[in-house]
Amino acid sequence: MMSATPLLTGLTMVLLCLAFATVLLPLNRLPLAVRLLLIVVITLTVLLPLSEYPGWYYVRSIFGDSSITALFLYVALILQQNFSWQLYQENELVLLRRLVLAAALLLYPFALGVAQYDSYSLGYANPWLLTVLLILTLFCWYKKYYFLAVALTAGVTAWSLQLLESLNLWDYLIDPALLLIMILTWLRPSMKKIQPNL
Amino acid sequence: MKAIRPGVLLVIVAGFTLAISNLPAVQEPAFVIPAYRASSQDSEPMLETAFISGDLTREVHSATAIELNNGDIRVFWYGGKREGSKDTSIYSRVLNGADNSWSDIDEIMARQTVARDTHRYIRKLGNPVALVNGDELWLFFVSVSVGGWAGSSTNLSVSKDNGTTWGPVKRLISSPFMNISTLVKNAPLLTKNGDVILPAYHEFLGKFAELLQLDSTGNVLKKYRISHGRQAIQPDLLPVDTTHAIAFMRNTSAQRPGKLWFSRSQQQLADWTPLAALALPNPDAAVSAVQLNTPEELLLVFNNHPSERDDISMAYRSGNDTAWQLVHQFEKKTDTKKEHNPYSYPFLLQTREGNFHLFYTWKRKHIKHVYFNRAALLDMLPPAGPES
Repeated sequence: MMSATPLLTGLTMVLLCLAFATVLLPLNRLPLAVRLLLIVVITLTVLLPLSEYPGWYYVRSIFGDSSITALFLYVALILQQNFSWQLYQENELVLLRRLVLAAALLLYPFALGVAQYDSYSLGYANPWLLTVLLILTLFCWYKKYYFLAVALTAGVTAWSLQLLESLNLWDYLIDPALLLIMILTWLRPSMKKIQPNL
Repeated sequence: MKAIRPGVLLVIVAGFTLAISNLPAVQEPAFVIPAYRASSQDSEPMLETAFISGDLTREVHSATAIELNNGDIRVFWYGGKREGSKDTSIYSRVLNGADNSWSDIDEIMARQTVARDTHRYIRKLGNPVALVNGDELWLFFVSVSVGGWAGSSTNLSVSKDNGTTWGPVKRLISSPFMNISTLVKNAPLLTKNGDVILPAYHEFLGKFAELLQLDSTGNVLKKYRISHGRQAIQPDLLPVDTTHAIAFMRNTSAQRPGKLWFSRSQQQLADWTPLAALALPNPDAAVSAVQLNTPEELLLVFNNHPSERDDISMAYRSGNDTAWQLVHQFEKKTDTKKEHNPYSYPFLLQTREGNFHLFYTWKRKHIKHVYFNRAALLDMLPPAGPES
């Protein structure tokens, strides 16, 4: 019997895989029944043991844990693309993409040692990073980007409650899989556009 | 729908208020300075050698050791069919301090255990380093899921019975880039408030040395970068006072190869002097150092060649401004047989009684143990060596 935490972690890996399937495969062009069947198959494949370990062990060993922001996006993306439930506006996706790209440029080259400065260290109990995030979140709220505002707040709250293995705030906001999916949502013109009236 | 706007604002205020009120205060580390060993010159000089890794595995590598609270010496290494094969595990045995006998060899950490505890696929294990933290024995080691050693992450397991049994394995999260490429090789240090400073290094694309500050439960609180670029890995960290440290590092530079790297921390542990090349050679190989009667009086075990790991030698310096002197050679390749890096990864341990245990990889087939006491060291040192 799995304890609650591994099961939840496994489910986050299911969301990651479904998000990749959503942006890479033309799921939204398939009949609803086939779409649902595919989602069930992907979910079982990720959760059930493949040879030695459950499938999500392999996914997690490559990508690590998903950030909280990413999980919000994956849920919204899966629902919006496959079931036309719109949780975010097109503008929010564009802003999130820009923010993720900017954060990735700020983080990853330094994490790989390009300079003595290490921007990842800003994520350890740094009041300035929290302040910047608060301003950004209030800006989203002001612009009525409620999905983004709630996603950022959820990331910050999860960090203060130490819900992931990391104590670094960056790990609650961004991860390489999120960056990849953001790039894929930009490259894939076949993704369903969101209704502009929301 | 009108309720959404104030509702979202309420969520934002609540979330950020919680985060600000929970903002942890990370203290600047203050090292626990080890008591420098009193020389015991009563005994006769003694130097003994033995192969200690048995024949459980075809290859062995990267031995480290720790003196337990009861005076026993526990040694760790990893072994398998090959250095990078899928069957590598962490092995350990104990040298009994009372009767000088070795325990049986135990496989203390297998990849299946690490996979079960960390909920990740694990392909191989390596580089164990240990720390006595109060009544607990902490074991750090690296694991790889995909690719080579550059894809390593660092793990921690804690034993409450001096290493007989081990608690659940915890994954250290130390990099935003898929948490890959944080490796360990040399011994951690304790700080006065119970935090641990773990020397670490990165070798995916960049090759650089870092320090991880961990709390008493093994969470990464902060990181400090010693170097950057593709210059140096495997820092060996020695405290010179409560707030300053020095580090010797393996030279991985393509532009300035062949010399051992050195750096010294400045006002804070985040500030380090630029890498300085010592007069000692370094063939892109690990080194290990200990402090003698003062923080700057050092013994350092290394490969005394700019490009080959054909020997294991020991150098001594009496103080910060004095030159290094070669004082002993433990191994020297004499045959002409083509062997790649026969002697490597030294780890030098000084006991509380002031004696020494050296472990190193011998032709990848054995872990060799050299024991020498303080009297033997005094015989090796130049006449103006350490005073008693």
